[in-house]
Amino acid sequence: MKKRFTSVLSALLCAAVALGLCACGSGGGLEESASALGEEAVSSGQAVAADGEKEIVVAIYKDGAMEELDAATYNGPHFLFKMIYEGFVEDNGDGTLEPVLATQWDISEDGKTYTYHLREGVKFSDGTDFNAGAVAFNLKRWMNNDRFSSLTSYAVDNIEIIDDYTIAVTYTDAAYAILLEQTYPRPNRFLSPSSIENDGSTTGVFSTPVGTGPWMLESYVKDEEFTLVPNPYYWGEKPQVDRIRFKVITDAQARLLALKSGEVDIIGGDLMGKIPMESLNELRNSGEFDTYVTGTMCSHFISFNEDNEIFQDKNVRQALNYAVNKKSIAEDLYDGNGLEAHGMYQDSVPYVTSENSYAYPYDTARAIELLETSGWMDSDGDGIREKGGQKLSFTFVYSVDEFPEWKSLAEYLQAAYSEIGVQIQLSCLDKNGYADATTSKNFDICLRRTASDSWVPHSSLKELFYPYADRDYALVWTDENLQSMINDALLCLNEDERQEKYDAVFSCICEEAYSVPVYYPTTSFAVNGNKVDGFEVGVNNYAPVAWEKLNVK
Amino acid sequence: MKRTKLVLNRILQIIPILLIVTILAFVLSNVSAGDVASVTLQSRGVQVTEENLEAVREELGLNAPMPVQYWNWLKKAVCFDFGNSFQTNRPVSEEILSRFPATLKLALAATLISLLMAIPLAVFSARYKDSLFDHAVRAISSIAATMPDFWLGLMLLYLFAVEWKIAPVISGSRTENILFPAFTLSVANTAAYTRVLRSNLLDAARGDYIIAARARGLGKSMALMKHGLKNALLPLITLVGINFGKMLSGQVAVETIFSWNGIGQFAVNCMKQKDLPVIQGYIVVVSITYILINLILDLIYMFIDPRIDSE
Repeated sequence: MKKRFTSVLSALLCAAVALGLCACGSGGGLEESASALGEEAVSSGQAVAADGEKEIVVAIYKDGAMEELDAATYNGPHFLFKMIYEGFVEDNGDGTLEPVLATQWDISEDGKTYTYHLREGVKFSDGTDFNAGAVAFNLKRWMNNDRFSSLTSYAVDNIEIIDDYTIAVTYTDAAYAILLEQTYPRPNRFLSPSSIENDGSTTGVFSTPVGTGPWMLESYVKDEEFTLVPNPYYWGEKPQVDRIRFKVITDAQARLLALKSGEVDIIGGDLMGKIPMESLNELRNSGEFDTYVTGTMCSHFISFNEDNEIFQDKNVRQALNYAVNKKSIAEDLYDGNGLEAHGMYQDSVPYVTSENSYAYPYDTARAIELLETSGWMDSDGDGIREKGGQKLSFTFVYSVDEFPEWKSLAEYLQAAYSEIGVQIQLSCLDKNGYADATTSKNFDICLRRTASDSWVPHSSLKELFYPYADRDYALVWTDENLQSMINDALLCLNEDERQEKYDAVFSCICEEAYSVPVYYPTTSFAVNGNKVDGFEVGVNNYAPVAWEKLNVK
Repeated sequence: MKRTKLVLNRILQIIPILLIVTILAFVLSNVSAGDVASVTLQSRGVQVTEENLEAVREELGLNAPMPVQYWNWLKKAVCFDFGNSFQTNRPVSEEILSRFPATLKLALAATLISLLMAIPLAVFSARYKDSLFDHAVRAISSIAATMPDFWLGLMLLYLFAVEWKIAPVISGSRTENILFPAFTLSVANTAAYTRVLRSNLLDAARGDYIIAARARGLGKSMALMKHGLKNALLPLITLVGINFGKMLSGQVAVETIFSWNGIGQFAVNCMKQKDLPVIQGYIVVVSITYILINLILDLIYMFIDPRIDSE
């Protein structure tokens, strides 16, 4: 018996030894070098590489997916596509375009044929030449592929290589957004044919990211970290630092702690890993780090279920608009970490003006008046209005998966609506449940967001007001008149006329009160100012940081 | 003879249990919220159109009736082939196995820490019952048992990584950084083990064999250590085994906070993305782990306490 008992104890000891062995067994070359750096970071509180190289460490909330960073798919973080690859043109953030790999472009009179004049002397980071052949190779990999059918530039009739640096592309439809879509992080990017297995085969499988952009991949440990270094062949202004190291930290609080411990130098950005709102205020007040808060082009809004007859009454929709104090949401609820909502799209979105897109002022008296005009009275004194035996009571669906701050927003709205005699039952669902409920009209009202950056307004309007996929109804409101107005605007090639057509679109959305805009979110960064120099927030979510301007003090 | 029969019997029992587990895994993951085809399209970033949905359903074999889908899946699952992940397109078994060592390492370390702390604490607490030490251990273990692991983990990181800079925030699954994640994981268990073992020891101390040992002239401590501990450890083994199994299924909070790439983070991510092959493979692997641990526990019992064998 004694022997048996000792054997159990020795099994425990074996476990301890096994643990020790694990320690010896793990860690390949890359992992070891990475851990050595990690230790150095801890001891010195800084992450400057040993031999005086300038290195900046950035936190990212998920893996860089380098083995699937193929522009002809939608895999991997958006912003990496803009660091490693380039397209014909780039978005300046204000709706204007900047020539990149195309220095010039001619558009045929019918608006269908685009002749791109390519920048000469550009090389991919593997040293191969960028030319019309490389462009055609990339276009053939994704054009006319249904998975990109939301883009107007996906349907192509013909590609003609005129000479080494001139290529003409004839699209099936003329739409003003074709050039705008060239700024998207994908699929309109050009990869070196050597990125694909069996070089030069358009059906080959992607193997490794090689582009013409300012950065190229140096090392990659899945789910842990990856490093980007300047592309030696880059044609434009060279980056200032020798390396950017991205470390994967899933947890938002852990990212904050990693900044404080000196293990990372930059945190934040919507697509890199958000800073929780309450932590942002704490960071700002402590003054230890530089914080940057800028607006985005996204809006959060309430959407109604058009199948619920109550919402067919415009008075009810308008009343729910009047009852919301948007100023207070931005300033009090979110401590100034958000912007007061006006119309369904932000004022900075192209074609949105203060005339065509406006907010309903906060006016509970007006809201009550509208409800009473429609016959909604509180006759039994329970604080909830009713009409013909039906209570003015709604299920409010939301999710905290993408935006944790929606919880307090939903609770605020519940309180605001109870003040005008509208009862709200909150229903917080998980990501899949929310997606199910909001696409299958399984709600009365719900919280939604618009797309952002160069997807607004045209792609977003299509997404929200058109029947889509296997639905014969629109996500926000099915109004055939509005759909034809949106279509007119999309296909209008004259800039002034297009503005008029968009005026009609946005005015209709506001006037009909198809949504309740509640809040415009911001994006934020925190930077270790003792080490990082030249930090600038990038032009949009897809280019969150002006990476080339970063330097080490 | 009896023992071999018993062991064989236990192993045979695994088959019907696994069958039930696989059916549950299959049915439950299919009926939970979210349309697999559209979630898959979205995660691939593909536009959700009627044609695309149909193509994906065809590609993933989602058009067949559920019993047929189950049978096709089971045939492969027997050989540990759970298909490819909808998201990464790599074999599920590969995805799970590649993350398993990190989880195993963490679970072993946490269990070891728990036992190394709990056994001495419980023995001293029981030996000096109602002393200041005993009261302190009982109070602290009550607090520790109810402490949320994410809170403790963040506190430890704040103190040791931010304030004193003696540990990194990013553990990166490296064994040299295992102490804090393992400790965080072990605290609640340590508290539970201490309390269970202490009360078992106190029960044992009242046993006839302890009185007999004391009558033979053994000191109080000696009698408790030599004869009481062995008996008191027995119920603890079940608890340790079950907790170990639980840790092997992944510890999401600790893994995310310490950037430890174990199976928990991965599984939760796949559940959010409705990555059915991974979820199903994960449930089966976790169930098998539990069943094996239970089997091993029974065997350990038999070895430690021959009475079980003879009953």
